[in-house]
Amino acid sequence: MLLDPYFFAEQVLNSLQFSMLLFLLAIGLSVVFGLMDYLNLAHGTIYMFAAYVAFTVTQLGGSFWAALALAPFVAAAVGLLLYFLLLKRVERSGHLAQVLLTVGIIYMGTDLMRIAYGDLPKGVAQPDVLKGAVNLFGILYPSYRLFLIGLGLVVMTALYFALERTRLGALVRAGVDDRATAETLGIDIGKVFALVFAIGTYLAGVGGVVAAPIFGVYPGMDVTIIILVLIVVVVGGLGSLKGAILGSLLIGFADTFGKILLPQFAMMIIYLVMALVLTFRPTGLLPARRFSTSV
Amino acid sequence: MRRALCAGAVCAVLSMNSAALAADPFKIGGILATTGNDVPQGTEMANGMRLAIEQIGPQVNGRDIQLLIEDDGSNPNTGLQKARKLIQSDKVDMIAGVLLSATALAISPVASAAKVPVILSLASANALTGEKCSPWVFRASYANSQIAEPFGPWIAAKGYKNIFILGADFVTPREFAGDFRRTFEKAGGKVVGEVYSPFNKTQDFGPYLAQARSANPDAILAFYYGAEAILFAKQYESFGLKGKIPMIAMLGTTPVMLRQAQGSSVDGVISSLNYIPELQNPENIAFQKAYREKFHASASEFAVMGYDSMRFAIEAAKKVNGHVEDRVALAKAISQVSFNSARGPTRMNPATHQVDQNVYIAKIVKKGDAEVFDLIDTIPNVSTDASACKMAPLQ
Repeated sequence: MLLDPYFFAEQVLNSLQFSMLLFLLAIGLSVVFGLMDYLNLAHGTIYMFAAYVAFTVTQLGGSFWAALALAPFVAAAVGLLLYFLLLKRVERSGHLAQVLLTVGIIYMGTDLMRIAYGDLPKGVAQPDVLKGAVNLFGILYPSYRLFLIGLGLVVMTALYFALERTRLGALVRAGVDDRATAETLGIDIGKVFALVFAIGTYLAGVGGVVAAPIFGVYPGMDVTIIILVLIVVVVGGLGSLKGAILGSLLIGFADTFGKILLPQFAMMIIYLVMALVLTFRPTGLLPARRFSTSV
Repeated sequence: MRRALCAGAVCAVLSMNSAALAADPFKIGGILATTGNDVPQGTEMANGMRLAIEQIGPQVNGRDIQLLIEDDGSNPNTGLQKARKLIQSDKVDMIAGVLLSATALAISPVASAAKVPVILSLASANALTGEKCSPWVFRASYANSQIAEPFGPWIAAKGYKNIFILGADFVTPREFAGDFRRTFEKAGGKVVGEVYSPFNKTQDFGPYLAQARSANPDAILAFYYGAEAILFAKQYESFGLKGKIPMIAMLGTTPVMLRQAQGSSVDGVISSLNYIPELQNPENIAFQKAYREKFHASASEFAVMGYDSMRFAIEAAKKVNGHVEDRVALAKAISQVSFNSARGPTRMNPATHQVDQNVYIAKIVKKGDAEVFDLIDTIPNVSTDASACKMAPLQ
């Protein structure tokens, strides 16, 4: 079956599409973790929140595009609010405190959504222009998923240029590389971090909106995705764009092809990949800080 | 003087006891999900149960019916603890209303040892009225085999000879698939593939749909529930399979509660079920009306099964004239109850302790801008195989 070129190509596209979604969330989590050593598990909650906002927008008569324009900003605003009100307090308290706090936020978030929207999963319709499938060299592939792949590539390129070619990008890279020295040089890492956090949360919001038509909107989607994103970040390496890209591709492909080759062990394949990578590269494949003192 | 006082006191105590006995409520416990994955089903079931008490009760032979619902959070360990609480500290006369098969299997030995009859309102694992049957456990809902077995020959007769099975990997789909496969293959059908995806962990069904498509079946038999049912249906449509390879299913995959989320992706899906809200019998019309008045929503199969499990409890209590402390008589009485439910004629089968009922084949069609079930066929009076159950006599 795998030898059928059409089937194989279709699964490559499926893997790419899934990788893009993982990337949208992983990059925010990875840079935040890499820059401030802050393990924010509530990243998935933002993703879920944005999906619910998108649902509400479409219920009120808005289009998918309206939701895509609006929801990530709302998500970023909520994320920043959470940061300044709650998350900032345990910035220097170590990973355990951060995990405890953000897991608490996960529980709260899930229950809040449950209270507001009920337990039943909700649907968001795909935009009309992307409904249906495209004939790509003999494969009939859903247009919406192609859109997701395209969107991911655009975001990847934009982030690459932002990180490598802009001053802000340089500041971020400096902060990830060696925070203490960067601060000595007069860089206000606090402000840089708040901005990075906002952008990361915004991207998580984008992820939530674009994932909603394929994956649905339901309480618990935050936990499902954060586990995968954490694996991506750990495998790819902390704090680097290249790491997030490589990690998402690796996990996206491992998951999709794992499902076909060994459906009963689909989950295990991902964990196996993670275990293998960590055995040979404990800090991930392409972390920003290879020789870090605070790892 | 003292003697008179004593006698008076004794009389007072005795009269207090008998007065208390007359007012003793008929306590029924329920173990449903009010937290966790199955809250929507649990809520509907509880609604149905309460409606039954209102309509058929609220008393039996002068005794108030008291319903105590406990939460098992979709976790059988919690369910077991709650069962112990209901039996030992709340001293319920009966447990009528158990959702989860795992919980039912856990509490069956405990309830049987304590001689508390249990009426299951879902818990559809075949074993509960099969190898793991108990003289104290009854099922007012359905056994997986009742829904799956009649569907096999029906599907084969309609010309769907090659079927690809896709399901979530846990016990219910596997049981459904196994029962279906047996009767389907006997009727000349062929299962050309059977693939299960990790339960509640799968979001992307693309790879599985692609595998199904490459086997070129006449139909895809899907076993997904809740969020997975929505995702699967939408992805089935978005990959262009809708209209090319028909989808068939069993109850739970295209239920009323997922209508909004599944939308038109499930148009044309044929399912076998034991209830659809669109049934036109007089009991169902009355039931839907009463449910709508009380709960402002249309009733699903969970509400009906909750209602029916209470009805079995109350009718049995009536048969023993309210003397529910005689547990053996009460349990025997449950075996003798039969009535016309909203889902058609139901009868407790004394040999299996499983309700015999109609099985319906229905197709989802678009009516206006909503999806509804359209009844295609009725398979009357389906029972289960009694041979697997070796029940000890009640004592």
